[in-house]
This record gives sequence, structure tokens and C-alpha cells, in this order.
Amino acid sequence: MDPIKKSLIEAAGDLTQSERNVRYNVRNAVKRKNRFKLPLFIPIAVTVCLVVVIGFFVVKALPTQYSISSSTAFDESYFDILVKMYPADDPYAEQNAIYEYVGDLAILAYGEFHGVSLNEEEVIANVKEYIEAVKKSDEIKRLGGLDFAKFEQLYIPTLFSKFAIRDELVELYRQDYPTMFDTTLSEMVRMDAVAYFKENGLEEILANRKFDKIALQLQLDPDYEIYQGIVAAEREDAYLVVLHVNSAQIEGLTIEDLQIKFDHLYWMPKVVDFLKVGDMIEVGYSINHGTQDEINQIVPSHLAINDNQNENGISTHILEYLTVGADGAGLDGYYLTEKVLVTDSTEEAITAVLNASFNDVNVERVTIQNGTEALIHFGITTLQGSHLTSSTQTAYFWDQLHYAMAKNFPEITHYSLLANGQPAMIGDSGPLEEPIQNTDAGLIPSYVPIFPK
Amino acid sequence: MDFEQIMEEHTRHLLQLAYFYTKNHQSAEDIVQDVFIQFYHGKYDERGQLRAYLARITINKCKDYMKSWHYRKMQFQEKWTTESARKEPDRLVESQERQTIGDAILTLKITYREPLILYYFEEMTLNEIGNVLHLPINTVKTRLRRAKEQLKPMLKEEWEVLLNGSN
Repeated sequence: MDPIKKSLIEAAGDLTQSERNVRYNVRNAVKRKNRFKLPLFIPIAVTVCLVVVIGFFVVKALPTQYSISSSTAFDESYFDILVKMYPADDPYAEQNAIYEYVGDLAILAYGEFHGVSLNEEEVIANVKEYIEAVKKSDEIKRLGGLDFAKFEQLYIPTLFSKFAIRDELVELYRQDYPTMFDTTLSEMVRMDAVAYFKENGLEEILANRKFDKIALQLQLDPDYEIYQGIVAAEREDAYLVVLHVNSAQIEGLTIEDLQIKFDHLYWMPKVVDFLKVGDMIEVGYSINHGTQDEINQIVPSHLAINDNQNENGISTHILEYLTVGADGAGLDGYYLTEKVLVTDSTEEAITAVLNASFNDVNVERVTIQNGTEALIHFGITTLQGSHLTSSTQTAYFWDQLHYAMAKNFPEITHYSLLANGQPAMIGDSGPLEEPIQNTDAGLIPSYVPIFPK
Repeated sequence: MDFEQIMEEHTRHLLQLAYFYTKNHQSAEDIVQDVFIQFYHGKYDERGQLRAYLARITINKCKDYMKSWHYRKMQFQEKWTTESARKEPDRLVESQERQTIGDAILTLKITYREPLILYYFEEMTLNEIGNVLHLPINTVKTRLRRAKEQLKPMLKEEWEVLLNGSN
């Protein structure tokens, strides 16, 4: 056996009991018949709107000499050009083209969103220069069966428009992050563009076309891993943040104790001063590789500070910044969310809303602590029933719970779930997201028809 | 082949695969449980290999699970999983000096862990990985290379094994 495979299997540990558990549970589960499907909802209206917006922008953005029709935004012939840019025998030609196409559209849409205007003369000049270079080089041979006229009139202008818009966006970002490298800024633009595009109907557009595969890829390629952490100590220039702990676990511990006891703790440069010991924060962690010279030049920088205020007057400050990783291996990205205390919440209201949201989970009572932390006492019967002992099923349940809390009680930033008086789960609020839906037929746990009722 | 026989033959492999994604035995159990239930109620047309078919479902379920808000943003502390959840990082730290390749791979971000798992554990080709992950083959290669770059400082003599077996 391959030594790496062997090592991986060893790392998984002894799964004998897990095997027994799975077989036992599956045998029981297949006997149950209480299953149903959730309907899929595709907001067509959003799709149509975005097509119009992007199509208009493309027309507006392109130099007249190379103008294309408004349908180009989702023009199959344009897509075919992208596919043909790859070798005919490349089995991934279409996937690459999809990725490129979506990226183009995202940049264009994001540029339109920011009101970026193009220097058309400059774009035309670049297009001409490039076309001339292509004609003189062997590049033209790579086009294979591709119609060069289409390539010249359709592909190149769009490509250079995208470049120009991206460059404009990079300059826009540079105003806020003057110490960032172009490559970093460019990546930030790309990430934000894709995120913007996703929020504005990409999924739905893709679902209606043959581009469905790219959506999955975009979702599964997170650039940041988000963890919950707590400010455990501070010094003049930095906060010590410990991940995966609650305040009780770090209470009374010295910095040395913390460093011995916990693995996941970081000194984060104090680029803001509003955090204090005990604050719950979210930390996004990411590593990007660069040369040592590049790393040495990087200084901590703000990426963004977003101040939001909800209808209850509760403020949230979101701070992002980059700093050099402790091991010098690259950039660490930190994402902080200050948890602002609130003083007025209604325990009865939460209890009522949750009980109204869940058909078969009983919320006995809710206790608010410090205005932002809710202890949710659940009835034990359902939680310890055969359904909710499953972590994946609990994940669905937790998503539903989070949605109910985030939607109705955004001021509650942290909550704990207690079953029979014992801690069961803890979590904190996040952005209001539609709860995930298990759309596999026959896999909806019986407890799931809980939200919305 | 009847359903019991299929479970007998594939459960362990699927559990291992799910564990490499979730790094949690309980979650792996639940995912595999769901896989078999889906298989039981689904329509497997027997045109492809059953092992690959089940693995594909498992991978998709692992990804669904890892996309959930629950997984991404919550510190999951069910009392019955607390011990196992804590055991893993502690064990890694304790054995840092003798960290195995498998342990080291499990510390990688999913972006880099996944192609390694599919390549070495599932024994997929680069093309097959690209198909599963919906990635261009060059991206798969890049991720494998970067994964190895990240593993290098964690491993000592075992780095050679990885290096030699990476082709």
C-alpha cells in the first residue's frame, strides 16, 4: 500500500465502532418512511435583471470600433470563442472557459457597480497593439479553427475592457490600502467581484445555463477560514486572541498559561483600540505565498472598516487587515468583528419566536446575559431522540436556528444551546443567510420542518 | 449484491474518506449514514463502479456539510463530541516531533487537503480529481504542489516519501 495512503488511514484512527454505528443506524433509518422534498426556488426575475445590467455595461464599456451586440453578456458564440482558445483535445476546455467567462462577467459587473469608467482610447490602443502583435506572432496558430475576425472583434475588446476595469478597480482599492502589492489588490478585486456577482444572481444564472459547475467551484474555494475567538490579553501593540474557547476557559489564566494550554492563539497587531479582553471576535485566517522580499515589505494594513447600524441602533464594526505571518511564510489575514453589547432584549420574545419556528423542538426558556448572550434551554426529549444525535442533521437544525436568531434578534451575538441543563452547542451570530437545505430526496430528517413554520 | 453486503464492504472506506474532510468521527458517521440511506432509496444504475459512486456521494455530502454555517462559523461543542474534537489537535501537538504524513495532511486547509486525499487515498488521477472538484487540471496540479510545499516544514524524513511518491 502506498505509504501516504497508509499514513492517512492510520490518522483516521480506529473506526470499528463507527462502522457498527453506521450500519445499525442505517438499518433503522431505512425502515422509516417520513420523508419529503423541499421545493427548489429559482428567482428568475433576478436573473433577467442582471443580464440586462451586464449586457448594457458591456456595450457601454467597449470601444465603438469593436462594438458587440448587447446579447454578448451571455452570447453562446462568445463562449465558444473562449472554449476554442484551448486546445481541441483539452478535456477541460469548457470548464476553463466557464471559469474565465464568469470571471469576465464578475469584473465587468463589479466595475459597473463601482461606476468605473473606461478610457476608451486607451483600451482601443491596447487592443490594436495586441492584435498587431498576434498577427505577427505564432499566437495566431493557436487559434486553430477559431474565426480570427470574431477573435478580434469580440474576444480581445472584452478581454482588454476587463483588464482596464480591473486596473481601475485596483487603483480604487489602492486608495484604501496603499501598502498592498498590485497582485494582492488584484486578488482582492477578483474576490470581491466574484462575491458581488454571486450575490447578484450568479447562482441563478448558472443554474439556468450549462454553467452550473462553476458555481460549485466558487463556493468551495474559500479564501478565508473563519473561526470564533476571544480576546484573552493585550499588550501595547497587540491583542492576544485565542480561538475555539469560551470566556470561562480562559478566565484567570496568565499569558504563559494560555500559551501552554491552547494551540490556537495569535498576537494580532493592535491596528484598532476598541477591543478589550473578553470580547468575542471572528478571525479569518489565510495564507498567501510570496517571496521573502515581498514578505519583508509588508506592513500591517487596514483592508476595510465597515460600520453598520441596525434598526435597534446597535452598531457593528467590521475590521479587516493583513499582517505578516509569524513564521514568515506569507500573509495572515485577520477578520475581526467587534461584538457590541446591547442592553435591551426580550427573553420571552426569543422563546416565543423559536417555539413558533420549530415544530418538534421545545424551547423551554431563554436567558439573556450581558445583553448579547442568550442561553437557550431546549427540551431534552427531542434532542436526544434518534434524529438529533446526528451531527450532520444537527448542522441543518443549527442553520435553521441561526437563521431564526439572526433574522429576529440580530443584537444577540452569541448563544448557547442547553439540553437538559447541559451545554450542547454554542454559536455566534453571523450574516443573515438562508439556511442550507438538504435537497436530497429522502434525506430530510423528520425534525427539519422547523423553519419557517 | 444486497444492501447489507454493500454496507459491509464499503463502510470503513467511506468513513475514512469522510473523516479526512470533517476530521470528526461523529460527523463522518453521520455523513456515511446519509450516504447509505440515499443509496438505498436512490437509483444506482450500476454503470459505474459502486465504490467510486459511493465515494462521490460521500465527497459531495462532506462538502455540503462543510459549507454549512454551522461548520464554518460555530464552535461546535456537543458534549458527546467534545472529547474527540479536542483529541485531534492535542494529539497532533504532542506528536509534533514524530508527525506522520497523514497527520500533517489533516492539518492543511481543505483547499489543499482535498486534492491530496483524492490523489493518495482515493487513488484518483489528476483528470478524475479535476472532474470531481470541477477544476482545471492545472489548478489541481498547483494545489497538489502547494499542499506539498506546506507539508514540507511539518515533516522530516517522511518528506522524502511524499516527494518520491508524488509523481
